[in-house]
Amino acid sequence: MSGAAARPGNALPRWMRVSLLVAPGFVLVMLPFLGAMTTLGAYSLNINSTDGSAAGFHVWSRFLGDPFSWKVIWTSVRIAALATVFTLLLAYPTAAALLRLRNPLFTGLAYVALFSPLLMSVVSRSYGWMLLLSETGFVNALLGQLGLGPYRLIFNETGVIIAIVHVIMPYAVLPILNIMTQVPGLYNEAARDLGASGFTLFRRVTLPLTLPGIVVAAEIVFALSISAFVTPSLLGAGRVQTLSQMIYENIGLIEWAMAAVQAIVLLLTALAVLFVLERVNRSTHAAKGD
Amino acid sequence: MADVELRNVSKLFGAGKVVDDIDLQVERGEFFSLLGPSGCGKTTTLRMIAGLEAPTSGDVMIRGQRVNDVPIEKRATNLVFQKMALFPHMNVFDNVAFGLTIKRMPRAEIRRKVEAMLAVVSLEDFIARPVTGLSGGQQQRVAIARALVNEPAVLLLDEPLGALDLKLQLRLQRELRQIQKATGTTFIYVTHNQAEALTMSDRLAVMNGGRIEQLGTPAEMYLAPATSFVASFIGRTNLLEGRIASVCAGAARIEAGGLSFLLPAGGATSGERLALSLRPERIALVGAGQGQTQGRIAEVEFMGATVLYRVALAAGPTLLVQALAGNAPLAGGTSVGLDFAQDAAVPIRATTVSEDTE
Ligand SMILES: Nc1ncnc2c1ncn2[C@@H]1O[C@H](COP(=O)(O)OP(=O)(O)OP(=O)(O)O)[C@@H](O)[C@H]1O
Ligand SMILES: [Mg+2]
Repeated sequence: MSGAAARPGNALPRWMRVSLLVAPGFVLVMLPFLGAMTTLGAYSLNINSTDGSAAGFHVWSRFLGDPFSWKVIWTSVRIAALATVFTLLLAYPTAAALLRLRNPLFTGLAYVALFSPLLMSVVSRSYGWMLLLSETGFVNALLGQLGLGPYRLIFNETGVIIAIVHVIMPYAVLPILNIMTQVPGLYNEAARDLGASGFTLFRRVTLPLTLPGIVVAAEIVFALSISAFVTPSLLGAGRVQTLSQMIYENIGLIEWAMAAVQAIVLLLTALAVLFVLERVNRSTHAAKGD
Repeated sequence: MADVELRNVSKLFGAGKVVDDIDLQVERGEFFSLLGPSGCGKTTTLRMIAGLEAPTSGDVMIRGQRVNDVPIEKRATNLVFQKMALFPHMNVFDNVAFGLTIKRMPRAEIRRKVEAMLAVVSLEDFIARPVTGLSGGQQQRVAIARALVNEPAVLLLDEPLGALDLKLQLRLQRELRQIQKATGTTFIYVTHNQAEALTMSDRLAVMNGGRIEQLGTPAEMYLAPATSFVASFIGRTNLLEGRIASVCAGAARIEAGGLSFLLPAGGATSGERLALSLRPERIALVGAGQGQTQGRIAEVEFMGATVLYRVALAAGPTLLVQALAGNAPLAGGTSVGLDFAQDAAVPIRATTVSEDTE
């Protein structure tokens, strides 16, 4: 690198400047993460056990050998995936509508509405949903007026997913809105000029151009959903078992080793899904040739 | 029958009248240009023909049918955008094939047509390239191919060469003209570059402030400008305020800025005021003391083949004079004589003489 010599007034070599820029973020994010991972790894291998049992992989094999564990992993992934899909289906048109709002007053109100779930505590929000979704609640009363139901909407996956979607919506709308503002309306005009309209226009032009934003939204939303804990506990009421709840239970039982194993599995599961999504993102960029 | 016709078309954005009562007809197979300064409403006019903008009043006709209510995707026009708007997520082939795939044409036929079209714009070797990796000129040619491959009745081009360097502009001007001749497609070409409009067009309209100042062939526009705006926008000229001194046997003697001209009277009467356009190349530099009038060179603008002199006349006004550069241009301060034919000036009869209040 001749960069250091080529740029006057920059005494520090490039690697040092980059390091300095990265340092604060690295210290804040990566050090605790690495520390936590090391600790978790050690716990999962039973290295500093308090009951005198030997160190080794036996907690891992106990967890992975139990069919129930796999059922729970699958439940966690399924709930997070469904929540992600429904969130994206709602967030995409929401972002498109926000983009079209011309009146600043309406835009302001729309943002308040969008972020309102984040202004409530997770506990009161969950109890709110329990009231709304119970057999005698508002939603079933409304469906009853239409001659439908009553449906069981809480203490099962449906309720958990509804409540998760509610709170993660804003995290999905923002990246999608962001990419929509970056994609000029010119491409839509060009496509229509060439004869495209309706769903064809959406599928061939709008969707591919906004896909990177959708992928980012999916990544954020999936990571948040799979690690959600309070919502599934309250709205699932023990009948919907997810990894995050099992970790909590095991900590309560002072089963540190098992909790550590499950925490690592949760993290790896989330990373695997993010990896796949990132590959999707890359391939769309590759198609663009940049 | 005209391919495109605008009847009393106006467009308002809020309170601003961007296009003001335009009437024009473009014939089949014609290369027609809309020429005018930035912001005069060229793009808006083109977008109304394409269907991207609805006229506030008036009718847009394509091949004899009123298309005001026909949506853009159903019109027999294709537009080459001012900012190309190639689809960044597709390669050259997919961009050019886009319109044909929408029409559900068989694959083999699409491939054949796209390949033939890319040959026309000499981009055969770029068929599988991503469009984001192409140069500006190549992207421009893809944009033209993407529109033209649909065999539109009318191709609309919005300053397609505006962003390119001069050499590439000249080459693509020739290529575009050849493509237009070869395909027989009607072209409506928007530009603010008067040289481009003059060399390429069969006919053109000069727009100013949302209105058409004049419509005609390049030669008509240059040799007989209807308004002083047209006279000074197309090429350079000397605008003179004149007075008809006398009319005799169908010829009017006109005095303007201390100069004298003899032009066909055409119904004008003695004492009438009028504006004259005297092109710089119609004036010859002669030795001091000779010619019609005397002056001193105030400024010299060297342009290569020719030199543009600004000559301050003893009689008052300063005139632009264009002469061949020859071996050495004259220096500033030189005293010269100016010579011109009695009928070298053109009268500008329109009443809109000083309405270019942009
Ligand atoms: N959507 C719009 N809303 C409001 N005003 C507009 C809109 N589109 C264009 N205008 C205005 O209309 C006028 C004419 O615009 P137009 O784009 O037609 O000009 P143009 O002749 O193509 O100029 P240029 O050579 O710079 O491209 C401009 O003053 C512009 O600001
Ligand atoms: Mg324009």
